[in-house]
Amino acid sequence: MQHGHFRRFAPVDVLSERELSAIHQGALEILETGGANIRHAKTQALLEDAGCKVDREAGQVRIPPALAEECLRSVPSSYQIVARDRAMDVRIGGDRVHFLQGMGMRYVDTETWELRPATLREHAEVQIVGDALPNVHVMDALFAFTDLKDVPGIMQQLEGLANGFRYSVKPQHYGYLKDSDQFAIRMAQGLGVTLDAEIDVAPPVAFGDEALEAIWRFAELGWCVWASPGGRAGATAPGPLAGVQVQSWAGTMAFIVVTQLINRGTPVGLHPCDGVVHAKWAHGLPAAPETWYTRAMTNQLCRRYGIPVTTASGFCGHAKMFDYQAGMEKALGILTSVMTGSHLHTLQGSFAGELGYSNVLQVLDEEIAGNVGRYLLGTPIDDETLAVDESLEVGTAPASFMGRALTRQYWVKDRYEPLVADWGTHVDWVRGGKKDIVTRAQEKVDAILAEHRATPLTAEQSAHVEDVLAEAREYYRATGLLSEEEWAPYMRALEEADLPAPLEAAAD
Amino acid sequence: METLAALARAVDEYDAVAAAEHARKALDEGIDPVAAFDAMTAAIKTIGDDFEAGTRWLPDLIGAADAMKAAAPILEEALKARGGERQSLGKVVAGTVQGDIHSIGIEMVCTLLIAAGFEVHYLGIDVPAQKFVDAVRDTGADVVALSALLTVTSLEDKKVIELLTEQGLRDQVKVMVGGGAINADFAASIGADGYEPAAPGAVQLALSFVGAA
Repeated sequence: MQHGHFRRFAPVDVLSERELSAIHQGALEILETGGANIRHAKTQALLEDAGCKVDREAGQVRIPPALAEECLRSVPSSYQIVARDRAMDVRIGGDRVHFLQGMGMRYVDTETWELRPATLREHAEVQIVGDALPNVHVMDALFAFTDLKDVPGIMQQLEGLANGFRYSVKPQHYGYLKDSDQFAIRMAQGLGVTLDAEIDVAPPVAFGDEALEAIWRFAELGWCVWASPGGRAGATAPGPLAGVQVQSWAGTMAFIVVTQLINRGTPVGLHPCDGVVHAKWAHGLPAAPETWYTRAMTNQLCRRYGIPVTTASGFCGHAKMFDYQAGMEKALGILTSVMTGSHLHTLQGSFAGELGYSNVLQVLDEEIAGNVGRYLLGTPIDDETLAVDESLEVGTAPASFMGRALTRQYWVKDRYEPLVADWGTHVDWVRGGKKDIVTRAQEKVDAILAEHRATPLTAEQSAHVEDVLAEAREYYRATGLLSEEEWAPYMRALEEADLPAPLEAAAD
Repeated sequence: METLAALARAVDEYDAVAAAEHARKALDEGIDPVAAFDAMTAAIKTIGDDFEAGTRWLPDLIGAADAMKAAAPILEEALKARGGERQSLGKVVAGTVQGDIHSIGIEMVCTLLIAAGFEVHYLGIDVPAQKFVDAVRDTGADVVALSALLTVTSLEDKKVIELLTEQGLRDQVKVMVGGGAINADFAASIGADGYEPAAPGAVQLALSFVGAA
């Protein structure tokens, strides 16, 4: 089991109990009076049977508060994701903090800072690096490079997931797209693993049929589903931040009602994508302080009602280079989120509002995760650590504690050592060629790619993955979602992918 | 041989009490004190190598040095009684200059110098300039290593060099300086022979001074 980071201290509260209650009551009122927009017939029937008022024509489902609160109580406060290597399983919830590999659309060229579609090989290399980094606890193979060169859009998530399984033994995250989750589930089942799925709640409080189909599939298996409400203040949610929170909580509770009615006890996590938008460009601001505060409120709300929460404060930022702004946005967003109680935090590699993804940034973000993890661990307070006897024994200056056994003991177990941050002397930095942190991170990436490979799939597992992919390709060709124009370049991209070889073969 | 191995192990395990015990036992068994010193030096060199490789840390070095310090006087006394002398790469007088009580950096330098094969005379902290000069004269030192962490005390480095010059000793000893307040420009401006910001580099500098680099 990957235990992640233990948060020794109580999370910071940003709301009073009365304020939390006000948000919750507001959400219940929205669900009872306005309702959720659900047009999916099977789900409408399920909700109607449970006592909801369903206007089938308008697609409005009004949910009684008692039902919402009853379902809320049946969501487990933690859940486990099963990995290909069971030692890599994770349990999300409680006072543990884990990190989820980030997501992004295109490859970031660190020479020009331009973005371009990634190759399948580059995607595979992201999996190798993620597998090697100890603070990437959950992989996000489907979302690393959602613009894969010559891979049709409909197949990108599945090709990504397949690469994730080929090059990592860690747990995998999934989403949904035109039924692709059914192939993802089959792929996972054949490998003996589970997935947790991120599923959108379309703000304000609406559910698409595709999303509901995916919820049914995952909930029937009892696999965790994440509600991902994305209301933006002043656009798809009210202008005030509290109003955003009420909207998101209403969407989340509707999501919970559906999942619990399908399969009582299905794990549900909240993965808020809400926040604020820029007043000029109208795009979302994941690294704005208002968004961080919105996440803090969500975290507290989830703690109050025992719902695991996965947040993404500042995970992709707004910076256009790996510069001061990039580091500041990520570090502050993440720290404010984990301090207020998030369990799984999206982080490593995301860039420029999810427009870009980078292996170099994956390593840089790993450094942030390591620092944050050490901070969360805090320090125990007991007779040994208070060290009064030790102080009395050593005495006053010029005495030193440096050679003491207690110092040696805590120096090893109590100190964080940076991965790529330079804590050395200025003189050594000059002598070493004045390397910046981006250069050092690139060197780390190169070293990992040269030295690390996860345990490969067995021949049988590999054949299973290929079979599911082949089946999905034919399914989408037959439904017209994979066009004949896309097919030839797609096949060529697969043939010429030049995926990373096992290390033994690479050495040959 | 078993006792020498135990002595080395005591240094490796930072055990000052055991180091002193095994030093006495070695002498009781008629082992040459020089051989006992060599066993400890070899142990501390391994720790120094680990330190440079990043597998052991500053407290390990200091802990090992403390163990060695506990055994050294016992062996020194026996060596003197026999009229013998340890072979070394050279003699180093080291300390933190007057007004400055920081010791960690210079102690690390001393430990690594011992590990490299130097005979080190550590004068401690807050050392008056004349005391460095006297020690150079008394020991016939090849190198004097001055540490100053504070800007206000770094000028003491200059005072030591001036006194060495005034008292006719400057030509026989190399002066290296270090510490947080120092940089290469400052070292050059006061007429020091060398500057290093960190302990491993200081050892290389000392080795170059005695033609062993």
